[in-house]
Amino acid sequence: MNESDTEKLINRLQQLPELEPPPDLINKVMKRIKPDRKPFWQKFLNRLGKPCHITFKPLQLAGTTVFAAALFSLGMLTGINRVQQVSVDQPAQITAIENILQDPKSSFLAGRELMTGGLEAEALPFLQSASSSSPNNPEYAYWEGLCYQANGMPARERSSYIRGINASPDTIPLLLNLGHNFLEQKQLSNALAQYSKVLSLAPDEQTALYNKGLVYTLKNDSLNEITAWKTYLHYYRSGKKSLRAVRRLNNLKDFTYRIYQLGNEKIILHQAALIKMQPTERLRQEVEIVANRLRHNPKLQLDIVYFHKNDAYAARKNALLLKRNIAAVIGKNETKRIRLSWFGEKEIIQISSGEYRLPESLLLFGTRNYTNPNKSEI
Amino acid sequence: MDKSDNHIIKQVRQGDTESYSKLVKRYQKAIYNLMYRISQSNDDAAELTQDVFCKAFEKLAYFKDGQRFFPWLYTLAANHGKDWIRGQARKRDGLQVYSEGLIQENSSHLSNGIEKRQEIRRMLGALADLPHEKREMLILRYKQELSVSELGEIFNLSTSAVKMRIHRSLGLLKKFLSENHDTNE
Repeated sequence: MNESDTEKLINRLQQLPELEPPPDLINKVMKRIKPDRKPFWQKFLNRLGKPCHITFKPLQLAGTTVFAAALFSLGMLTGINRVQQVSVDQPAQITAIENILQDPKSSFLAGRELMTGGLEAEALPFLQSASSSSPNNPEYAYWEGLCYQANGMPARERSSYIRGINASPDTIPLLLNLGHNFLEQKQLSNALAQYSKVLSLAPDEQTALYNKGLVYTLKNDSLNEITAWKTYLHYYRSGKKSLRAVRRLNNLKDFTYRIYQLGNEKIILHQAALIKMQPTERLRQEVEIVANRLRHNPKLQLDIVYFHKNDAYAARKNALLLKRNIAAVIGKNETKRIRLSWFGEKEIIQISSGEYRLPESLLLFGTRNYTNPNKSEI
Repeated sequence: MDKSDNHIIKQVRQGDTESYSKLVKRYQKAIYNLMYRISQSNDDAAELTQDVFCKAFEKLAYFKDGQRFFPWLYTLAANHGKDWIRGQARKRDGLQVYSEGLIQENSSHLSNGIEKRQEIRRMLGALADLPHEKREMLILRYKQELSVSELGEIFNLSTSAVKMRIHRSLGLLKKFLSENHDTNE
């Protein structure tokens, strides 16, 4: 590579665009690191003042003891392994491990704890032993499957779940993880079938709802994908999965839901309900979400912007209606913080495939700079 | 005049927690972009960036006087990113299967010119093909404008080793770009 080539390449690197971090990032960090301002003696006294209780669970105690023995023995064995191969000089430790392996419950507890401690390879013999002693125990099958997954053995993982499901067909964690296993192996139809089974038992199971959308994404089945994301958003409106669901939905040119930035916060609203403006329960819920943000943030100034292709009157009517609905929740005085705009044209937005024009839409944004004119600064 | 990193750190250590926001403001973009390169998701990158700054705050007590803050912060962030990747392998919500690309999610940030966008896309693609360390070295050197000695601190290498790796990384990047160019045409 000659010098001018290198310079050009460096120049291109320097000109690469960078993403802007979200505007609320600094605030969120500062909120998290704010010290607990209570002095230590006060915290200490608070603790003393609180009633305390000690619970005694014999089974748990037994499990912990067994686990401690297992860990100790395993630690001894591992230590020995590092220095030399296990020799017959350590019969006590070997006997301890053998004893644990003979008792399914002890094996299971030891295996689980080892898994929790990140020792997946070490956990496997214990969980295998528990499962082979009690093959119809769904909990054992579940953890054995998890351990196979952690050890990168997907076929065995699947067998464990299937065995567990055969013994107990309605065990949601087993069905769910079998679905994940199929999804990871790109067996999309099988994954879908498992997630559907989970949802027939628990219609609001978050991961199953989300992954159903994901399966349809991978299947390029946009019609069902749209339905899946909408169902997810019907149950879950916050968190990064919800934001992703909305982005995906919008990229598929469905704008039933949209993301709005109100001050430092991103909220998801059912745009369709706020465009139709029919006095339904759905509309009431959406208005409540916006009103709550205004109520909890006195500095928030809200801009409501409606677009309606070739009908500025309809756009204005919607803007006024939304303001009136919000006023009904937060009180008329507070509506000074709401500004209205309307346009008799389409809204132009950016989606993954480029520019897109929405014939009817609502744009909301909030800025945190409202000062109440009735309150004088001291 | 902007206060130096070390001056701010001193203030924070003396109890002026608020001053920490200046450091967050100064470096949030670099760390956010690093986390985006690791997670390929805006939301995860935002969360990871927050975690990194909180972790850095907790560890400020161990920050040695005279040490340079950004290399220290970057190392912490890169390790946090590695832990996250490891954790993702254990999570089973399928999120890792689906991530949207930089151009896809942020088309509005970029130039509208189609050619320009294509060029950026090719460059990002070629960078993504580079091994993690090589990619980060190039970005830190030319985008973040870190010195060779700072890179040496981060990657635990001598200055001559850093120079050599940067040279090789540029060569590899060029090779990937030309391959990509050939396949596009």
